[in-house]
Amino acid sequence: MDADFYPFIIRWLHVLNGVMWIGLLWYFNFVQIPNMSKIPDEQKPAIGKVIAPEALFWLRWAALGTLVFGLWLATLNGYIVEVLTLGLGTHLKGHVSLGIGMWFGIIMAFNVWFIIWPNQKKALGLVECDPDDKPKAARTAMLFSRTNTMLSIPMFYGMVSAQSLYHLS
Amino acid sequence: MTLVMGLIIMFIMMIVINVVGADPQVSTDLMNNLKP
Repeated sequence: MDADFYPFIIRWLHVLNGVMWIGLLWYFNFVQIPNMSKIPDEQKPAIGKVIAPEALFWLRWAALGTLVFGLWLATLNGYIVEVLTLGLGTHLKGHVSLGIGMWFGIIMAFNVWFIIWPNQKKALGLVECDPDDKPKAARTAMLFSRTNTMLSIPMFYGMVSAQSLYHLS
Repeated sequence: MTLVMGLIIMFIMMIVINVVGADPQVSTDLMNNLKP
């Protein structure tokens, strides 16, 4: 088998997981959250109890998958240290851009698992908590989800420009 | 607002990539040429 095939498969899995993750992130921020106020209260549980928990399940595992396959790919390509140090030793634009993209991605995955998910569990009633804490938890999750949406734009710029503008393969 | 913030960060990032990623030798040559 062609030596390029192995890193290619890892890249394919990285992109596949990434599309699942960011697709759902954008679904939440561009479709679900802005339209919740238009849904009658008695119908809200359909979103809160059924759709959102399922979407969050795929979102957070896809986030982890994207991170794992992405770090694996950078290791296979032999530039993991160079990109994570933002090309400080190499001064290659591809290392700087991919490095910034990777750090944004890492921050985003951290937000998903350690801030958005614990707060969503409280907001959706999946764990016991003080009823007064629910709106606060929902707001925190929403704000960090919005932050991730904001970061996804420069994150993609870093990822894509490293390859097609600065020829880092 | 979210999209605008994302785009602003992206443009700052573009400048950072081109400054940090600039070849130090090219920068040095450029500076030497600028000297009288």
